[in-house]
Amino acid sequence: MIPKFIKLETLFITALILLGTGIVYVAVQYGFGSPREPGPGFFPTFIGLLVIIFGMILLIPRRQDKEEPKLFDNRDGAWRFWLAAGSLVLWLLLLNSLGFLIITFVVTLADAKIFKLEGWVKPVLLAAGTTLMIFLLFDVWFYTDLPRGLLD
Amino acid sequence: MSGLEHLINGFAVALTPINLIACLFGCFLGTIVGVLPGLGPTATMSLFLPLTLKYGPVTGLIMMAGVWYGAQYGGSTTSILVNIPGEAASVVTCLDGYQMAKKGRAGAALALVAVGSWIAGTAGNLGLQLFAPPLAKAALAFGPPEYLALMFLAFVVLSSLTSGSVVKGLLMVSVGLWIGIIGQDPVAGIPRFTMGNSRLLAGIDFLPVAMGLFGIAEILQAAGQSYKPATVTRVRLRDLYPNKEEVKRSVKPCLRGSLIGFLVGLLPGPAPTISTFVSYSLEKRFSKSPGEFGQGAVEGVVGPESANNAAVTGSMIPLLALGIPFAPPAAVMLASLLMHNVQPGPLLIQQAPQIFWGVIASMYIGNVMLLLLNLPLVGLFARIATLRMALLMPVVIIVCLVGVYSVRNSIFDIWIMVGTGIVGYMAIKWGFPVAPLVIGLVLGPMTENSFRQSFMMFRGQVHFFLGRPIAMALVIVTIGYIFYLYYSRDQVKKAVG
Repeated sequence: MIPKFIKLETLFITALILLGTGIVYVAVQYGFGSPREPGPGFFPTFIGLLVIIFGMILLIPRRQDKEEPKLFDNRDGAWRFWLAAGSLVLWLLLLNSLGFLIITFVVTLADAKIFKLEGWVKPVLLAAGTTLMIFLLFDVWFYTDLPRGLLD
Repeated sequence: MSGLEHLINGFAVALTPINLIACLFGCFLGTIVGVLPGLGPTATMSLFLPLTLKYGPVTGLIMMAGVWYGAQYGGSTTSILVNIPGEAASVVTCLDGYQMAKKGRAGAALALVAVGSWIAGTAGNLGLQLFAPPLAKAALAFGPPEYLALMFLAFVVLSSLTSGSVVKGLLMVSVGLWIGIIGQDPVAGIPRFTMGNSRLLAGIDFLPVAMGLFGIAEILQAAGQSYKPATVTRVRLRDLYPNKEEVKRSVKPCLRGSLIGFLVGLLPGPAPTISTFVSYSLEKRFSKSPGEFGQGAVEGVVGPESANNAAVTGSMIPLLALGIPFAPPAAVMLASLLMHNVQPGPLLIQQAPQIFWGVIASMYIGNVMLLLLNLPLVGLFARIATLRMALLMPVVIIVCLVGVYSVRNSIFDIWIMVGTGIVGYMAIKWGFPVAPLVIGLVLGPMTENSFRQSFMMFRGQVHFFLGRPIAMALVIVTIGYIFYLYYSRDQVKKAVG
């Protein structure tokens, strides 16, 4: 749980500064070389330093009383965001085991409900139509080898 | 071979059945994308990047260019009829376009915008055809220091134009540059930042990152918004005739918009959007009745809409002549060329004239296609604008997922897309522009090469830069621009305070 006085945006910038620090740390190990003969770590070191510097500039003058832009408009929006993101992850995790046709139908149906398509007839038709259309387009026309999974 | 002969050869390339279909498909798709709020041309072009693998670089580029300039046409339709800008470049059109519609002049506004866009697109094309070859010839004299200085300037201008905070933009450029150099070091051959993952040896592909930032992030934004049904103003074909007064008042704004758009297109950043604001304020200044602006002034519709079309063709010059994309859609086009091992840059026009002249010729054809498509189908496009997100987004999600998968059959690429999509959503919400990150990613390897080679050329002595007049001039312009930004920020603060 993140304490309320810590702003998420500040955490985001801090994460970027840490990323910059990591880039510099790793880059130096690749070999900085010299300005006459720059090594593999030469350019990344500069990039890492830039990330740190720009991050610090953004972090230091931050007025704590300034209201942070909200990530989600309301609770409902937040739910739909995470459900939509979850549906993407679900598709990724189950693509190989269930196969393209099954998981695509399930995820499209779920997304239609997440985006509030009323009833069940329209969402089912949309899911079936989308699955078939994408399968024909990519697997049949573009020769993309889409995983068959359970239907193999 | 003269320019005219090259252009005739270009038409021979563009008029082949497959390229004509690609042009028509791109223009039609672009118009739909322009009409629909949320999904922009960058995401759509990325989505259809795999298609270019099947049909080759010329066909792919013709289709992508069609999507880009088609989106500028489409955006105006919904701005005028529904008061919904499908594209950022059509926001200004809502101000007077919708007011014209309320006065019963929607048809006239649409017709004038379509003709104005066609004139601007064709004039911009002519500019592209005339200026890109000499610029490419001049760029042959560019060495690593000049390229480095040019990219430095591009990064600063891009960062200042895409976000309220230059520092946020530069931070995103830096992150993009880092992502761009992940993989094997081009000189020493050692893996860098791969964390032992062999899939990262070839680097992070452009497509999943672009799709994540411009596709998935937009979908997630739509997920968090509530649906409001829009009402559409109906337009019949016979309503499309403007009166004499409207035509007369549109001529100069169209020509001025074409020139402004073309010049703004040469700058890094979201040129079509910026050009509309510049054109609108200029038209208001030139107008004999500025009070009419915001109440349905035809100049406020035709000027900006002409400008955004010309800006797209202007934006092609840095890409085709220098090999440097100044805008995210141009970066997608660069990625498409690189996928086919075609190196854009000064030598492209000489070594692959069929690509350069084929694309130019297709743009002449595409602009005519758009004119013919947009007027009779205006009712259809307006209806598409009212299409519910609940029907559209589930389809777009699956197209994104399978589109990225189809390029390398890689689940890993989709993880990258989903990850960048979630991070991109947060970045956008907190005011971090994502366009500089994408440009940084695409230009990462080129920037590193120029950076290292410049140091090696000068044997570590930075003051040798003084002996390179072009590079020096570019650095001075960049520093001057940074001072200007700092000074103008102070002026704004004083004015507000």
